[in-house]
Amino acid sequence: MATLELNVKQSGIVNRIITKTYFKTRAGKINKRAAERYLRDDLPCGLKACDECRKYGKERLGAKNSDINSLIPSNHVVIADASVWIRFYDIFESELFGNVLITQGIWEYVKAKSISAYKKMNGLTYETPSDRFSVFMTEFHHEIYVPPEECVSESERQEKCLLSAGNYLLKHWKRTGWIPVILCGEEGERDRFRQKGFEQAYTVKEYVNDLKDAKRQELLDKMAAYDSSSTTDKLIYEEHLSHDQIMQGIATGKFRRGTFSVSRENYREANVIVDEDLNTWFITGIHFNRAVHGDIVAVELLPRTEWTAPEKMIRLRDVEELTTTADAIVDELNEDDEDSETATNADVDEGEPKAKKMKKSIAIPTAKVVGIIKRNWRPYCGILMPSALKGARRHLFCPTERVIPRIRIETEQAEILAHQRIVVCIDRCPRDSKYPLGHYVKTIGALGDRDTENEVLLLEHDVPHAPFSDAVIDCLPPEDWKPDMSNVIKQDQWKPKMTGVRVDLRELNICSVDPLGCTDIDDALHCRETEDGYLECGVHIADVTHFVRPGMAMDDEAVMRSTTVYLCDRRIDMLPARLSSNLCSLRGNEERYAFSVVWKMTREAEIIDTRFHKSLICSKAALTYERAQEIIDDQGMIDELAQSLRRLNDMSKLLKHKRTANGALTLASSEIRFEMDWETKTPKGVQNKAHIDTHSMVEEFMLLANISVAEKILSEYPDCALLRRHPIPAPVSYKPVIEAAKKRGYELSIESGKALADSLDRATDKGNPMVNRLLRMLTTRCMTQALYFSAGTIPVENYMHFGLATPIYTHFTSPIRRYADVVVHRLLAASIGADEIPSGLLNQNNVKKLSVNMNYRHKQAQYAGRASVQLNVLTFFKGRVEKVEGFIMGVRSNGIQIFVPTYGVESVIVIKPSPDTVIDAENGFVKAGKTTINELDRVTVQIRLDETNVQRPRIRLDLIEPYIEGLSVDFDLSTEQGIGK
Amino acid sequence: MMSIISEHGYRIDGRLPHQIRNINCRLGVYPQAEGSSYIEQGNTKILCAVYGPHEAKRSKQLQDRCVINCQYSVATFSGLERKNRPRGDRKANEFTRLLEKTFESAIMINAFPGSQIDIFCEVVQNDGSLLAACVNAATLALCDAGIPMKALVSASACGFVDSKCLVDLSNREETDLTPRMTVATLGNTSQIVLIELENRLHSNHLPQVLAQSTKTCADVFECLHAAVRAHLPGSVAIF
Repeated sequence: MATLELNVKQSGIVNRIITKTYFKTRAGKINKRAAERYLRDDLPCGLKACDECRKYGKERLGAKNSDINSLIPSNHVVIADASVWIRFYDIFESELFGNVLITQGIWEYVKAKSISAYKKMNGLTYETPSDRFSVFMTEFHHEIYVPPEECVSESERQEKCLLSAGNYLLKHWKRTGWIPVILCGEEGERDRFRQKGFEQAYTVKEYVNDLKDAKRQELLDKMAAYDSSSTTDKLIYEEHLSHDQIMQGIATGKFRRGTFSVSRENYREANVIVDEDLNTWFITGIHFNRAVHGDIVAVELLPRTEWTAPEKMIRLRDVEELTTTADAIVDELNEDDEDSETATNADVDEGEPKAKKMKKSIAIPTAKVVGIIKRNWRPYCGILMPSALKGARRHLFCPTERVIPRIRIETEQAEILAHQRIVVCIDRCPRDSKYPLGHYVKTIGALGDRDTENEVLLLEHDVPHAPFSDAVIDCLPPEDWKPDMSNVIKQDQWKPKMTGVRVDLRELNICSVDPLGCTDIDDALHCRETEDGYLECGVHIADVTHFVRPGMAMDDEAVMRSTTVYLCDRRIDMLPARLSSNLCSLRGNEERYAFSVVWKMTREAEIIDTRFHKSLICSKAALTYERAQEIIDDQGMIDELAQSLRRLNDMSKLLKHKRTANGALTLASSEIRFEMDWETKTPKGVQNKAHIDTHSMVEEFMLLANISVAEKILSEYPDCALLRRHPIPAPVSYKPVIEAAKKRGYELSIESGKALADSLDRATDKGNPMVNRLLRMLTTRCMTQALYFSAGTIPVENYMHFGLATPIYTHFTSPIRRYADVVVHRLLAASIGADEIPSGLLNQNNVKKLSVNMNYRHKQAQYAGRASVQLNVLTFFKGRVEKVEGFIMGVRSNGIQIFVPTYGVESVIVIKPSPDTVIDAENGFVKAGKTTINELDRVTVQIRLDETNVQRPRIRLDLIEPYIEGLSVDFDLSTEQGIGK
Repeated sequence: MMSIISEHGYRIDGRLPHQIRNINCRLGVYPQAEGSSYIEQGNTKILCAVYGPHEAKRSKQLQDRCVINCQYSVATFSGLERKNRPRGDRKANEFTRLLEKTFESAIMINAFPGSQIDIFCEVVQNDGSLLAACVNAATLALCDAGIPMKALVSASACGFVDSKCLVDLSNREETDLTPRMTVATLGNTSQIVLIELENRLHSNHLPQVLAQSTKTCADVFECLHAAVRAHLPGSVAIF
């Protein structure tokens, strides 16, 4: 280090030094870099009571805390070292840590070492309004900076920096009466601080233990990561390879990398997709080698002799528990040795005979996990398993998500937690423990409580659902907002390429058609005859981008949320209610801003020309689907609105016909909707989803608008338009549905979308109309989801939307509830000169990032919606037993999967083996005595709530007709959340 | 990966976004050249020599003004990795042309018809903002040579990261993606004699970047001006 002359005096910079670092390039060469560092004297220490630093910036810390800890009798600021942050970052969420100073050195170290700790640290410091955390820029401080040349190792430097900062603050704060306190992860480190003369150093455990508040117990639980696990030499798992070994293996082709995904039916089986053709390698039992669902792993193929095949057996933890007694659980928990032995034995027992059996039949590539490339752990919601042993410290935690293994945690407050939903994090997976080890993070609420269950649902699906912040609310226009008439022009004045104008469409007979009770109306329609004999159809979409401007806090929040999430009893809005259900909602007889797409069409629905412009509309009526249908059907009504609706309806039929002729698919889903009793927020019954013409009327016009807009923005922005595609499924993925159809005697053709649509239409059974719907459902399951993407990132032929059979598609019609539509609105507005384009949207990378987030949020919102339905199925069946129609969706070697369309429930009935029952999972039938049931057969089942376990009620199905001996126990398979529902 | 502006608002080397690096400069470092200078902007170090005005080659001569001939070269040892050749790559040729154009507008070229002025810039150490540093070095060298100019030229680089302007970029801040603009102004005015942009910048942000650049040029001007003033007493008066 050299201190150099400073010629240019600038505020705050007092010294300049040069540091040298050596680093290795990708090619393996060692390079030297000389970098400057400017040391400053204008860095605020963060304490409100400090007069000297006040002029340098906002001070944050200052909550009086002289009486909270018996170790420290004066006001103090806590500086936790990097190891504390990395290991125990959860504890800082507690209000008991009122003043925490983070030195820059610690910040950077934590950022480099642990993403999750960094996220928490950054969130607490910069993303929450609390003033409990402050960052002190020690690395740039002229009196604190420790040159790296004086230290041997990185960790030594960390300690020196911390000590230097501590000593400086001690002196700096002398007059204020505040003192810095250093919290260390280990005793050794603490002692070193004390030896060097810094008295106020404690280990974090000492500090928390001596907190006076009773909530310290919770903190201790959070810290109960195992200090040093018992060093048994009974290791269950193979050691993971090092990162370098893995990378080498992948380079030579010996290993493959992929995302580890556990089967939803059998927790001992998992798959890893190893290449672009979606080929998977199969992994079972012990070969999991501590990988957790979602991790990115390196896998190695086993020798051919060890290949196996999926058991075709339903294996859920809940099932096995029925046969496991509470004692066994206690054993598992307390006797590590025995536990591991039984585990290994069990795996060997099950593995070997099967391998022999499978060799003859259909062994598939089987692999083992050799190393973890990236853990994908997150905090998990769930419950504590009941423990037979009173007062035990070690407990098993059972995550709500099925594919996540049980997690072992330590807690002193098991009795309290037993009836709560809690959140747990995984800390590590040692080789000698069957379960991953974790720690308690927080409690969500009481078990079975409606709000708690909803909260779990939202947390598990990572749905941002906090109330809108003040910054967002401040962006809103006033409640009594009125349209600005200054730039509104008459229809006949409008010409293409006019900038900054709005067309007055108030005299048109525009109306909206939506489901009953809809408050966020984002689309409205009209259709009229033009003087030259054509039809003019218009789709008018709420002009959300007029209110949501780029760069606003509201826009950032909307990007984060990306979509409105609909639960049965709650809606989590993307935009604040004032916009979503008032100012942007196209309500009847109110003047609203809109973005219009207007087509001139022939009576054969051929488009002559398309116009896009911003407009001012006044919807004549906000109709429901049913009301619109009545108006269309009632020949007595001949006013312009009714005529408009009739024309729209006729046109939509032509459009639909064209679309199906192109090969658009009609698919089915198992989803249902509950009719809610809003007073008590409980489900009253299932909504009848009768399909009427007006549904497809609205749908066809929305599709047409989306397609027209997609064409427009793609022509204008071929590199960065936001589009939506639905990939053509790989032929392999159709296998299950083709097989199911074959058993029924139907031939499905998958050559093209058109062929598939036609062959699905042919596959109807007069005796069992559900068969067709079930086949369509199965087809849906074979396909991947539609995705947002940025134009220019993939070959043009892949822009195709397979399900709708159109070459390009986007989302334009629901900007109130989807962010993608907001983006498309902005692009379209810019392309017609109606608005400026925010620079971010012109950057392909940004659009790519946006679409990744939107795809994720969209998927999570869907899952959350489904989970909410399932939750309500449980509530609905409380004290209710019904006989309903069910269909066999699949046969497994120990049970059958049954789907109940009325409630969208898919469950498993486990068959207990008996001599006169033949189960053929390969050919999909069960034969018991004289009765045979095949896949897709209709059966009658009794459906009720099984509340034998108070903690975990579940839907139970019993087969009634045809009667088969031994079909007794069943489990809910239709959600990923098998437990506690 | 370190972000260019940290969460706390500071740059990697401890500067605030609008702060320039330390400037060290010396005039008259080569006695054999008409004028010469050495400048350090942080760790970027440039040597510059000026020869002329002398009679230009016949083929190059212009009757109404003088020809400015520049050579920009980067020492092979100046960067993190050793370079193969100091001149002649696309970047160097581009910089050469830019320097020539800049000084054609700054020097009173009409005063020397038929002659030529040579400016040689050598990058000794590369730590970012090379073009700006070269312009600054050349101004000082021209000053030292006593060649009449309209005013001192001062230049600065300005990047745009996370909607913030970042001036006088160092090597670590010059990534492949950050848009950065080099601007040179005449004297302490906002007359721009050089403007160059690398990577793409949205036009909405241009005014912001331009304003910050001119402001930084003024800061740099102060430094150069002080250096020239300090050098004057020791130099020989011609008239």
